[in-house]
Amino acid sequence: MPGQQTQTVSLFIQCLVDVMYPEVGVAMLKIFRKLGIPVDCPTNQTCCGQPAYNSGYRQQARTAARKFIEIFEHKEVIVCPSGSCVTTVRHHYPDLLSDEPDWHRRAETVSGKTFELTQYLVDVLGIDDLGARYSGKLTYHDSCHALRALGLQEQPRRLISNVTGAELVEMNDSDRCCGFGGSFAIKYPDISTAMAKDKVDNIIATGANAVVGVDISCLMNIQGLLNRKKSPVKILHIAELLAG
Amino acid sequence: MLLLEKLIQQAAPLNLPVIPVSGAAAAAAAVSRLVREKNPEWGDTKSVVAWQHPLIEELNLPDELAEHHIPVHMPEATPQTAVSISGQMRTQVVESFIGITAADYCLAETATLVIRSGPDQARAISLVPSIHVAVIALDQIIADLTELYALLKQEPNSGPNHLTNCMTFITGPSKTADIELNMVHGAHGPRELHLFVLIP
Amino acid sequence: MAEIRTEHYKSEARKAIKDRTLQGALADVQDRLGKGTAKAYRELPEGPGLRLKAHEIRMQAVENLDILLETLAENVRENGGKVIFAEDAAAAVTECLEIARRHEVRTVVKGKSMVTEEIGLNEALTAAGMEVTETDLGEYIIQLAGESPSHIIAPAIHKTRQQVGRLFAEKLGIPYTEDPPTLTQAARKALREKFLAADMGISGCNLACAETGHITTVSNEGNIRMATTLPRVHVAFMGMERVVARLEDHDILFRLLARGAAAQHMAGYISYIGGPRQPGHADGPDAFYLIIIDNGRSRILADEDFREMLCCIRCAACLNVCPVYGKIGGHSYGYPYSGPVGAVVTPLLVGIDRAKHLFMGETLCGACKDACPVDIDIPRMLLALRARLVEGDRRWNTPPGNLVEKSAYTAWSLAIRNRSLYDGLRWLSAQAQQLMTARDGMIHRLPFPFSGWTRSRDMKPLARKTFMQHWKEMQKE
Ligand code: SF4
Repeated sequence: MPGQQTQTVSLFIQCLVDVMYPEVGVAMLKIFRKLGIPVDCPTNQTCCGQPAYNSGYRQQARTAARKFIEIFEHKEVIVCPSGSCVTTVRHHYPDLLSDEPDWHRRAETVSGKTFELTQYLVDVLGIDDLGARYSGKLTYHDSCHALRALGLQEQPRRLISNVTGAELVEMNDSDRCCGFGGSFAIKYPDISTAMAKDKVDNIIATGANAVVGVDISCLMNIQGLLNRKKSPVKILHIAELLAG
Repeated sequence: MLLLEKLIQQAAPLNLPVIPVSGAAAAAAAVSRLVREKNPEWGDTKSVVAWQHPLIEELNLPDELAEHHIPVHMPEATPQTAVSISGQMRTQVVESFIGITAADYCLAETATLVIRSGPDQARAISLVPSIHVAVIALDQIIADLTELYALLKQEPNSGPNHLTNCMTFITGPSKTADIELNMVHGAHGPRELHLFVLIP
Repeated sequence: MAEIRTEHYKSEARKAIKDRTLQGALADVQDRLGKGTAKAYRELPEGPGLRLKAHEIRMQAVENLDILLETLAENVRENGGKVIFAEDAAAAVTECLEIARRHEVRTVVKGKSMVTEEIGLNEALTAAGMEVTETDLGEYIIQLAGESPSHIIAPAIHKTRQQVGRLFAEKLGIPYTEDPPTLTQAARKALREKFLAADMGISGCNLACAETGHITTVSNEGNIRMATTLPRVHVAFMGMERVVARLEDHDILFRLLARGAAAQHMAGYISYIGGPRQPGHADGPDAFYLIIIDNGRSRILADEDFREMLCCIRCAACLNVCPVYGKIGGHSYGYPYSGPVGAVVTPLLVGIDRAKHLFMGETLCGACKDACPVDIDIPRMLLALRARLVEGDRRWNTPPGNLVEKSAYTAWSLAIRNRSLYDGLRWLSAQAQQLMTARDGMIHRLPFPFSGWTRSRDMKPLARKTFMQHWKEMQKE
């Protein structure tokens, strides 16, 4: 549908990508440029409010939500390289603002046009081959919110398997939580680490050179443990893979 | 017959043999053979306890087993007794290694027997003996739970308590997996369940 | 009341994680039951969507609870049973003691029931001089060992066959063996004596059918049938939420319960019990009592955010898929209910503040919701509990939460509204982090409160330039 393809994509950059992993954002930009899709990026954006929301600070999360809505509500389509941030906007904003009719309506508008990257590529644009190249074995970790709240299971896998030279090896329990859970990782480090260890063991067992994901937060957790173990396995956000 | 096939197929993974038999004489012979072949779990004398029920009486088991000196108890309810189960019946049930009952329905979909308590239909007979033998007629096999609940509601005597005070669904022999998830039959209820289907 | 040890969540979790045997057992349970359940749902002719229908049935019942309970009680009484409503744990226990006294009960056999764990029934009966025997094999094992259940339907999964073997050798006087069939047989023998001698049988209740006045009990072992058939008196305990309206409602619920609990198509035994032995019937107890327990459930019912939790049929499917439960096991939750169901129910029963670790110490991964046969949105309620903890709630006697943390979040919410302020703070942190970055380019140690992360993991430092800076530069090109 040419009408849809010419929509300008507004980049919704997860805060962790913005301040810690900007290369993911750059990769996403490359993808859209390669596809000839016009892109803009509101540079006054910061954070969607998920950390506050998940910790029970709804008042503070509301502040973040209103700010986000003001920035993005007039955009054509909003695309983000994180399943869990998209879940916050799509599923939690309308809930969070349900007592304020005007804001609720605006939240619904924004929620309806916010997509996770692979969701936008595959489900909206109908693109599952970006002509990317990689050489080596890869394994894919299903991030919880992308998988369960957004139903993204096939989409990223299709994109990965169309990368020339990449071999996708499924890990055991790919759909099991990596133990990140936001402040959970800091407040309950023993449990979080025990979960992450299982994840990392499953990754290493595949013999892959890198683990691919659609959420940098999970990957950051996995990377933290891989690095501590001095494992050569790398983390790779799917945007980086697809931009390659 | 389709339902019977389904039943046999569903029963297999449950370790529940379903044995179709043509006519009462064949059924009596089959049950009698089973009684003779199996050994008691507690003690070493053999006795059998059975419901007073037309389908079972037809098999004439007391005579069938008399020549092998295996008594068949068919206890009668004694309404006056003030204990849950009369002393004599209790002894008979506890001593018998095989309990024989009929059933109200059998669900093919899950290989489930539906049994209601009744005047001469003690609950303990399908429960306490080590082996439970159930005898049903072919037309008692129905499809599934959905059909069962519909039938129960349509029964002519469907007063408030037509389910009786105890309606039990039995699906296979007793089992447990409480030790390291190892499946073992015969936790508390019967270790074996054999289902005979009378084909007219 | 059962003992409440929810405060020890962290330390108990740490212990559990270090326990190799337990880790193996938990992995096993989740591997077999958790995955089996998912497969069983997929194989349903109606597909996993049937769970939504089940949710509807349960929710409807919960919303009409008062009427349904009244109908249930009326019908049970008509069938000759006695019905008692107990407001709290103490009342339920007192009623049971009174019944036992009236019927001169000395020995009791019990079928597995979570609600009797909740009210601490065994301790009370024992203290009153009765001999109480748990008869579910798993419960029997942990009763002999003097422990508490670590899983809702497989209470002794934390015990290895060797441990059970030693326990039985000591307590039952049998020669040591670690063969599950032999061990099961030993328990069968010992418990058969108990069943035949018991004066009173106690059971829980999986569902109750209002329109016919029956409760249902479900087991694979047959122990509940024994306990409710042989003794003179049967007392059934039921959480007040367990009722459904119609007989046919059981169809979907039982099909899903069997799949959720044990990846089966149908449980081994399901009994509909509607009262004592009918006049003229062959056997069954002379007296039947149904004790319907509130113990905090009315308060849950009154709160729209948490009402949904009353749909729970205690199948334990959520435990079998929960990655947190899979690491910390049931005892860490410090109350009979463990796993995701415990993380929501326990705080609502014992106090939101007191049991806060249960809902804070979860990752919101959502696996529980997909496994739940009645599609309960546990993650939503975990979030709602967190909000109550922060804001405080008088209805739940919960004071507003940690002020220091609250100020931090408020400061954060101001910072994220102003990109220049945000950038300034980011720059400051980046400077500080430079000092911490090791030669491999990663941070190996962070100060409090982030030290929890770096105890076991490294962290990438903040990037030199944010994406927004990259973007601006690229726009200029
Ligand atoms: S919350 Fe759902 S899955 Fe968990 S025990 Fe209750 S019914 Fe079962």
